[in-house]
Amino acid sequence: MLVERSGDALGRAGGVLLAGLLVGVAGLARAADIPPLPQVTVEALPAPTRERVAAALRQARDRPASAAATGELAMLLHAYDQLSSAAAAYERARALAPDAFEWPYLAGLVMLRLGRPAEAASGLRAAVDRQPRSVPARVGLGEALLALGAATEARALFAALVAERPDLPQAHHGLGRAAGAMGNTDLALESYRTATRLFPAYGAAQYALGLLCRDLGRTEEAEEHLRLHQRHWRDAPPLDDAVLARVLGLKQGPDEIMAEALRLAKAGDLPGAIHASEQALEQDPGLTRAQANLIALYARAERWEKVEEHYRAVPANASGRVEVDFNYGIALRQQGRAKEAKEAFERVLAASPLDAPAHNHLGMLLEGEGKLEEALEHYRRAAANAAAFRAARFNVGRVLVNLGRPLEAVPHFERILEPDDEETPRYLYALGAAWARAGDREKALRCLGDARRRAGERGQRELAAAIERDLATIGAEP
Amino acid sequence: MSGARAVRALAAAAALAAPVAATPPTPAPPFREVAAEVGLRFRHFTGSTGEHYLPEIMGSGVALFDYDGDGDLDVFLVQGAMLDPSRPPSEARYPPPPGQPPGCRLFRNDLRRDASGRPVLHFTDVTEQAGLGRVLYGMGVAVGDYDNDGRPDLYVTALGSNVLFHNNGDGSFSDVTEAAGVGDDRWSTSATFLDYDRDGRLDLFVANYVDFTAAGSKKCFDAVGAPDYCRPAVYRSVTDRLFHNEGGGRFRDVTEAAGILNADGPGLGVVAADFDGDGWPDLYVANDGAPNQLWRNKGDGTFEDRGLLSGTAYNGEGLPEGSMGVAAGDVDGDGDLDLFVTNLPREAATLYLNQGKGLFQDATDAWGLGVPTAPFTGFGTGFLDYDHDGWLDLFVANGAVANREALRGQPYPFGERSLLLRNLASRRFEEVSGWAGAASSRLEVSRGAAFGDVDNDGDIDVVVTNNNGPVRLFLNQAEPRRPWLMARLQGGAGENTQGLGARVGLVRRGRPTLWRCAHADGSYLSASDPRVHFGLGDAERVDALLVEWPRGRREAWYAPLARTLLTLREGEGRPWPEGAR
Repeated sequence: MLVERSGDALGRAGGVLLAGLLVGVAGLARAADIPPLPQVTVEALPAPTRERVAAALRQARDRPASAAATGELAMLLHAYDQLSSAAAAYERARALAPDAFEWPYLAGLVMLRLGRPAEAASGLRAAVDRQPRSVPARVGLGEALLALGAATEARALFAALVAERPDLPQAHHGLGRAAGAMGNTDLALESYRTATRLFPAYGAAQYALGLLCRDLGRTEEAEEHLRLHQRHWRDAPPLDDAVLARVLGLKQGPDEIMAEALRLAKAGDLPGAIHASEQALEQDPGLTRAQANLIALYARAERWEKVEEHYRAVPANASGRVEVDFNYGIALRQQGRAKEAKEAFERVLAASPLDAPAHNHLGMLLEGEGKLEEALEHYRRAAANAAAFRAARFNVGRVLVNLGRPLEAVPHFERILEPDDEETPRYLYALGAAWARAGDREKALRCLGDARRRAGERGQRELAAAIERDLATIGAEP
Repeated sequence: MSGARAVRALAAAAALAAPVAATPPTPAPPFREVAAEVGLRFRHFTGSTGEHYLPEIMGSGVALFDYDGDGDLDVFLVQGAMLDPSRPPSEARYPPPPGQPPGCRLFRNDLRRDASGRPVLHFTDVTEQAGLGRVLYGMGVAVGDYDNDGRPDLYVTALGSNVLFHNNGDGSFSDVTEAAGVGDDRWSTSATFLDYDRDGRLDLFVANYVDFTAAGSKKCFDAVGAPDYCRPAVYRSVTDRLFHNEGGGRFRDVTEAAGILNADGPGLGVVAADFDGDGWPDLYVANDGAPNQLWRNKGDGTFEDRGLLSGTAYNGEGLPEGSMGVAAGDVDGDGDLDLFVTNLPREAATLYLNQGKGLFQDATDAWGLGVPTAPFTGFGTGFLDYDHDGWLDLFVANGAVANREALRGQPYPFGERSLLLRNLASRRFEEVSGWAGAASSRLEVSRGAAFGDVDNDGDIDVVVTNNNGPVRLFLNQAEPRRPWLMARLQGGAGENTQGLGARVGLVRRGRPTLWRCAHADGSYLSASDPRVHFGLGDAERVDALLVEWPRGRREAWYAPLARTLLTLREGEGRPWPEGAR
């Protein structure tokens, strides 16, 4: 019938309209859930960074529904340490791609660094949900839980990680921290011990173990672990994290390259360190510390022409000139160009009168000229301005002995016997020699005997032999 | 009017007459900022010329002390200058306000009572009469009566020569640095007067920072490549100094003999206190970006650095932190002194809880201090019982030292807001939002903070200095006004006249003894009121005040009245009660 057919059509049209409305409302609701892009004051950024960030921002704006575009912006901001903006961009990327792993993971890491553990835990939990086997995500979540005081949950997380990856020092360290927070000292002790056994240079774990031993009254053991911490406080076992590595790889400016150069130099890779420093200089020709570094590296490689080249390239009034002159001074000393070396260190001291190493080097040059009193004055200044500069204090003592004032030298040598390390046998030897010169045979023998023993324990055969000869001489005296 | 309309009119009237559900009044914030209002007008001058020289961002400090002995606290403010004295201040990027004289300033407190007995606060600049308007690149100030003449003296630290000002007692001060032998040309920061050898004369410890010179200055950049202030690690740290008071107005540098030369670091905050309870004052030095030092006083004229073993050199993860300001106080009420150190953003401040005998644990997260402090760069800080509930609260003056992401593009992108953190007595702190109304939301580059009862109304007020900004005075107006008790200590026989280092215990039946220390140091570059303050909570009755004087004598004052300022003179007390510790 006509009326019924009209009613059916109207009903169908109404259904379509309603469905459309519902989809529209859902879409609006979803759009309302998507956080906006962060406000970034692009114009206030310096040139190379500004261009990169502006380009990434443009991409993210041009493709508002693209999690990848927003995520690229977030990672770039993260790489440039603009963490608040990065966090906001990660949250947007996360909302655009709720099933992705990397956005909540990186958001969680950023929140950890910002000291916002609740938000960090939220992101990292979501990341672990997406990838339950992700080790970095679980380690990060454990950190956040510990910061929140959720020790029980943290303990369960780290215990599971230990069971799955008994080779992972971070898992044992985390378990130790959780156990400690719950008052389970035995488990904490065992966990820290395992962490440090797996990676002895694990500074944080050595520190935790040291303080725990201290609390248990095991003072000697505590001091041993704390000494190891002192040597390795910056060191931690590596954690394979491809996602974070991608972020870190986005910024390879001169600072990052110089950091790599220093790492290579420390690892003994001289050509690698030189190459990296040259690269840094290419990126920023005015980077004085790259020049200073190259002077030192080429000096180690005994490539004097390159030392000269990089020294001449630095303007006289450049910022950081002090470091350049200092390294040049050392290079000149190496070459036996004493007069020019002196002038270089004098330039350092003119700009930086308290520079202890410069005073020490100048002292050595003056001593080489036989000017002992002048040398002594510079050694004293070096020692007075740098508490841990044992070499300078050793030089003070040495020159005093050579000036025929051994008793004055004694307190200086006594001061540098701690810490007990590779240098100590030599310093003890010097103390013994000072006592011998002062005519106190008993003290001389005691110090020399101790020095010989310690040198032997450290495999310092030549030193031990030299001490042995002196012991024989002093021992034979009436 | 028709009957229906009349009914409607009555209903309307009834509706209007019906009481609206009352909304509780918003409590007034516990503090009110009043500096300009009371005549405390001072703007810090950095001398910046756009080179980002490190000293520009570090100052400066403030002292609260009663220089004229009239019973109220005066204010001494440390000022900066041009780093190159041959250039006029007008060439600075942020010149001083017109009419502001150069140099440090002393403001006399002209506190009086109005007809109803309420305090009326007003400050007068008396710098010229006092002879304290020295132009130097000032950093901090320490207060102590070094010559035991009953008048507090000043030691002003600087980039360049420090100055010891002797209080002449007639409203003027004299520069006695050379005669006293306490000059130091290094970049000095915080300092403290302490009687480290318990001979009754105040000695002097001076923290030194790094070997900065304009000629040796380095250019640094932030993560995006914009020029920024350098971290101290790009320079070498220089050693601190300990001067022994020989008497007769002279000091002797005993740094090496005392063992202080055995460790160094870029020293910023300093506090002297007996951390291991052996009766000898120790020294804690907050080193910027380097391990902090806890110099344990061995009682024989020497010190040993116990920072590492004590657990206070690093944070709980074994990492050195920014470490700028420091406060010592008994935060958990167990009778020993805990430490609070302010740090850089993302590090959070660190609370080191004393486990007894000078061994500490990092309790920052456990006490809820990590999250509220992590976004900020903390400097001046102190423990104060602002609400008189008997538990020590915390104030932190914040201000950045590096470009802040959120302020990028602004001319001085370092402003932050400061924090008041209330001790909940359940082993946690919580941030007090809006603690000074709109003033607590201001973004400023705060540095020094000094604590004391400026208006003598029994509660603790706070003076805060701002780098390149105005001084702020936050008057405490916390409600409800719970009872309190304050004590001014006077050392006996002309010794350590302010009793610096004395421990004072407040005894109440059935409650643990509250312990406080008489001190003027701590915070950052600043000196506070050494009078000891107690909040009494809900119990007005006090059984006794126990005093352990710096040289070991123990005395008690019984049944002191609440809501009073007592003067406790060494030798006039009675014996301690049996069993008291």
